[in-house]
Amino acid sequence: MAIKDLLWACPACHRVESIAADGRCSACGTRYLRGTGARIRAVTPDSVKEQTALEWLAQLPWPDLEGDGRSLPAGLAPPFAQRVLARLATGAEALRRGTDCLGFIESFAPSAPGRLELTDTHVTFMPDQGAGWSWELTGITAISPSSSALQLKARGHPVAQLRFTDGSLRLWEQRLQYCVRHAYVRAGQGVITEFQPRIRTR
Amino acid sequence: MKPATVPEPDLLYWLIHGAPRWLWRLFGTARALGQENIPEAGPFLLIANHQSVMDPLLIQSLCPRPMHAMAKSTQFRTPVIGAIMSHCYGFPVRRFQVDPQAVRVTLRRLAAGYPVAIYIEGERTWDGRLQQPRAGTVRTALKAGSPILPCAIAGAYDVWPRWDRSFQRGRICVSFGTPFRLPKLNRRADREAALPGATTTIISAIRAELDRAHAWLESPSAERH
Repeated sequence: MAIKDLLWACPACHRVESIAADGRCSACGTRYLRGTGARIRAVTPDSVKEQTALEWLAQLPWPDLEGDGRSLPAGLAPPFAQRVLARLATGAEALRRGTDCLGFIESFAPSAPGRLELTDTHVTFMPDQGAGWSWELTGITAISPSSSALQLKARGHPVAQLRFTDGSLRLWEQRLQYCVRHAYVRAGQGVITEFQPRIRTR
Repeated sequence: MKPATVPEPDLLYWLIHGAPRWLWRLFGTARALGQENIPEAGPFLLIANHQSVMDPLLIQSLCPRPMHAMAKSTQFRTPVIGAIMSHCYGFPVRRFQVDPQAVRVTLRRLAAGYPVAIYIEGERTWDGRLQQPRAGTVRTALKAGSPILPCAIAGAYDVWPRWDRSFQRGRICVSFGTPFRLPKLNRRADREAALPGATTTIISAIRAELDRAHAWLESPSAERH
């Protein structure tokens, strides 16, 4: 996880997903680093400014990203594309302590680098090598953020784990929720009321 | 439902239980408020906010009783940490579905008289604010009918925010509120009807503890620590 996941656009130049993993904005060159406590320091050749995460977020063109996919920042509309590391679950095994079954944990295939594309109707992963997958948004049953990845589950498919090497995890969660919400409504599958742990509609 | 029987805490458990408290003295202060509110016996569901990766260790080390805790399934894949988590009464939950086994283990452990900890936000906060509560936690609470112990963690976000890979020295306060009960509802329709009110009750209780914890962090007594 990095500052790029929190700041989905550069507060200085407002370019979306321009902050790299090292905290530098590829558009304006401002570098964002952790300051004291949970404050973020913005460093340019001329100035140093330190603020809380909330204060930086307030400077983004669309500060509150907790909308459950009800809307997207102005000017942002599908299709979207981003580089990801993706892997699919290959199964789940029981975790035991003594004879007690504590639960189940997934096994994953190795991660593959590639490109994730999100349109009004499909989410598609195209790996750099080999075959990818494409799922209809109306079949998505869960969009679940993990520490540094998004887990995506579609009916009849294994869970996919997506790690955004260049993009913002928070923004992609919102984009996926937005596109799935609208795909559900268009297909007459109802209005989504909950995304976690799985999608519920009314 | 068959109550769970789990092994008694062993030396490894108590070492892991005590280590964070002692280690943290090198890096800052971890203060507990309202420890007298923690029931000495019997089951309860500790429902807390989630600020940092340290939260499970903080709660575990500041509670006098072994806490059983739900944690995301992928963490149990991590070598050593996964083994320690299951040794210290953690159990996995798969978060991309309603995980019936995780709910079953929670209810069985409560039925056997153990305390279980759940984070109501389901994930760590990005910006320090309390996030939207996950309905699954509240549904589980209504299904269990056990006492609920509201708990708030403050300061941990400043020490180790989700968007950074390292921690800094700092002061943390964990506040335990007065336990309260929600009705035990066996019918799904009843639980769904009670969901909004129960969610508000739990979140309000956590907010009150969060205010108390923040007040302590800003007080002169915190400055002395």
